[in-house]
Amino acid sequence: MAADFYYYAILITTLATMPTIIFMLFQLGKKYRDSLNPETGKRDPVRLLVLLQIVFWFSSILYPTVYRLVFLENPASMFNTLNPSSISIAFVVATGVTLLAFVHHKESWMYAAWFFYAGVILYMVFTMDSTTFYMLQFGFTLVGQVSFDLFYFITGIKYKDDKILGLAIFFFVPIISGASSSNPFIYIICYGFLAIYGIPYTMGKIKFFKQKPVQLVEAEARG
Amino acid sequence: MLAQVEPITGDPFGIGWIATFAYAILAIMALLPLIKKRKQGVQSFNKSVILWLLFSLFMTIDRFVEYILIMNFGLEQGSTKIGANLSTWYFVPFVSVMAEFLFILYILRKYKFYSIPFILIFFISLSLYQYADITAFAIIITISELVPVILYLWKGWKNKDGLIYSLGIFTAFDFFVPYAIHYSMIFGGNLAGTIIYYPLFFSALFAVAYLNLGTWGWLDRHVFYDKEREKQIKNAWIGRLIEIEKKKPEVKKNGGKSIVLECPVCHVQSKRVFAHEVVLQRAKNEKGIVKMLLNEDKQICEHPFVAYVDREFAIRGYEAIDMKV
Repeated sequence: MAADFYYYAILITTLATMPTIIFMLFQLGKKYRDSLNPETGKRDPVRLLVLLQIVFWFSSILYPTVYRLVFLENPASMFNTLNPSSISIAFVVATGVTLLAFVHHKESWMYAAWFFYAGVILYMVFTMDSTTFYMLQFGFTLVGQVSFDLFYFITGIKYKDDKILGLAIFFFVPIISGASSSNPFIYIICYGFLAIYGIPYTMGKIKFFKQKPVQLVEAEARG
Repeated sequence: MLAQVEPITGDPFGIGWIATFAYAILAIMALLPLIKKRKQGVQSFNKSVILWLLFSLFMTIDRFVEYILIMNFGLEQGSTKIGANLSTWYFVPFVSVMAEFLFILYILRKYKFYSIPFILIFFISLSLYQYADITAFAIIITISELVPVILYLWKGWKNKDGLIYSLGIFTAFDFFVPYAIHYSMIFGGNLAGTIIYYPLFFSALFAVAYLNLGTWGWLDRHVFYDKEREKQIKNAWIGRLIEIEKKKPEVKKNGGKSIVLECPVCHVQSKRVFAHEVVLQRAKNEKGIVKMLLNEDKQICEHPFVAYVDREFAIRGYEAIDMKV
């Protein structure tokens, strides 16, 4: 009975939040498209990375949802095998590390997480050792998620950046729901919060820091 | 069928210790000119060469000590292992080769790929810890070793740069060639005992001796020697000496300071005297560094270049001029 409740609670919550997430992705895509710099002819790479990270996160919840709908049961732990969901979560971590490397100008970290995950997959392909693969994949995603989210908080506060701090709060919620995956109530609260928080965040309505006052000289120069 | 040669055990003449001592002396000697020149040319490059060589030389001495322990105290190869096969016998050379790989990435300015050597160390160590098979280790170490060797030798020969060429020979003979000989002796020659460790010592000694030829400039003077170019340099020097001679009273009046300049393209060196006061006057900028456009009249070599000189008259860096409109 408990399993049935767990199944329906998660399925209905996820399906209910999906339109919100799709709307968020649409908003983020629009913002990225509008970020074209007419002088350089390039778009804002930070916006692209934020969009990609949320796309990967969305694909990570898509696979278990489809599985629940098709097989009418909860999927097993996704870290045991190489599946679309585990790959998506690893990509969320890797994109997060790339974003942090980009913001902090640490070129050597730019592709580090991508290479590491490629190494994990190659190691599994050559050794066919699923136990080690499970440990590596689980460790990478767990440590990676907690680390990049922590650094998002630090970076957001340090640079007084609403985008990064907002993203830190956004990804903090799936970490909590993932940590208490056996508790459907926490899952409902977390995804409910994401649905409420996501839209104003992507529309840029949430401001954590006061806007810097415009200097008089700058205002004059702008005419 | 090859005959089994009676193996010699132990190291009766103490060759291992002598080789280790000689290697340490030669290694220090090879580093001396680099340390002396660390404030000339491109500083960060010189510092990186020194750091990489220090690490590499330390690792080789560490390997030598392991060979001695194996020869004299009956330890077996990889007896200090943890897990299936993770021992200093494999780990130390692998870290050494990865340091070379990292240095090559630095030279090629591939900063975005800096993480690859560390990731390779992690996965190869994990594979050695879990499995006795060393195929992955052998393949990766061979590729990571051969690429720097080929690059150094090719770049050194092409640019007629003795230091880079010597780095190629050093990289090849410090690790790759001796191990190839070592395993050929075991599997091809059916040999055993102490004798199979001697190529590892002698080859590394040859490598560090050759490195000395490169760092002390012997290869530049005698192997990559170009008569035609020397003639041009001499002519330029004579022209410059005449010019300096003409300007001497003025320099003396202002208090001159001589600086050894090196062209960043062809590495031709030349000494020039600059007036103290003028340089110090120009160095009153934010960073305290004077940017000098040099060799416009092509007296040193064919390439005009920019030198960055600080208040102490030390060269902080060079920059080549690609185009002049």
